[in-house]
Amino acid sequence: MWEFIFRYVPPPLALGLIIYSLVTFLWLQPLIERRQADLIFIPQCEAGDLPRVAAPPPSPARQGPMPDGSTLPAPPTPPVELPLGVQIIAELKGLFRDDTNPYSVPPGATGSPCGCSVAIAFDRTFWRSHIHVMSLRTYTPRAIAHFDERVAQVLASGICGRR
Amino acid sequence: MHHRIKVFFDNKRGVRVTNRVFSTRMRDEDLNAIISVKIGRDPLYIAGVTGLALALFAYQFGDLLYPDEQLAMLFGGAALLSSGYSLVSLTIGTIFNEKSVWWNNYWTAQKVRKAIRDAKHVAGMGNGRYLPATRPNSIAERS
Repeated sequence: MWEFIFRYVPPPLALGLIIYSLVTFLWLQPLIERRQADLIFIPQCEAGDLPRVAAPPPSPARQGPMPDGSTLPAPPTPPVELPLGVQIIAELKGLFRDDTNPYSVPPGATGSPCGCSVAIAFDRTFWRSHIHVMSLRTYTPRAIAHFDERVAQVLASGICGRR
Repeated sequence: MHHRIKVFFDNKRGVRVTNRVFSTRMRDEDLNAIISVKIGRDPLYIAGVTGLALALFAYQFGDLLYPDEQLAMLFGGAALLSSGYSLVSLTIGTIFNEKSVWWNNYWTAQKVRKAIRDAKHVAGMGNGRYLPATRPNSIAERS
């Protein structure tokens, strides 16, 4: 496999691409993420001109009794201790999404509904956002081009509180 | 038989090309063993990708960067590109073996390469040890 790749891509060229991807992943995308949150999406959310999105349906547990008086059974609760592999993967994910990153959305901002919504929306478009910055804005999927919809969806879901 | 040492390159820091050897500070290479000399441009590839990408990043995301950040990224990219252009390795090929023996700037490395070429032309006229100096040897000239 490597012979096949290095027949067409010179190894130093591949090394340069790897270095660039790493620098983008570690520093440039978080920088862009924070600037977009600070300059565009949090002010837009505070001003209240997010696009209108439908509120998500209420969860079945809160729906109340069915017309015949019966209630839907509650979804099964997850086991207290997760399997080891899941724990390891969750830890590894946490490494990359750690809030100690100085460039990520500031923790003070996540206290407000808008900052929290923007932070969660960025978390939900993690890889798309990274590839968007890595490709120097040439790859712009829908979730990135209309990111304000994502913010509005998180805000409407109520997990960050009401504005 | 007395052989005169002819010097083709000497930079007073231990790097020297004579009609017998190519010497760097810590190593001597017999010219007879050298069958190819190449200017290795690996730094140009690495710095070309990263420097160009950094400059393009500063251009593409200019609306989200402060002007001084943008300028710093542009200059950083330009510095990477120019240093990647000027830093080269002198890669010497012996039989079944190719190794980078010396890193320096592009222009000096080209001078050394030319010096080795000239030295081997003179050595081809008879390096003294293996072939008679009087008669130009076709095998030596072919290499």
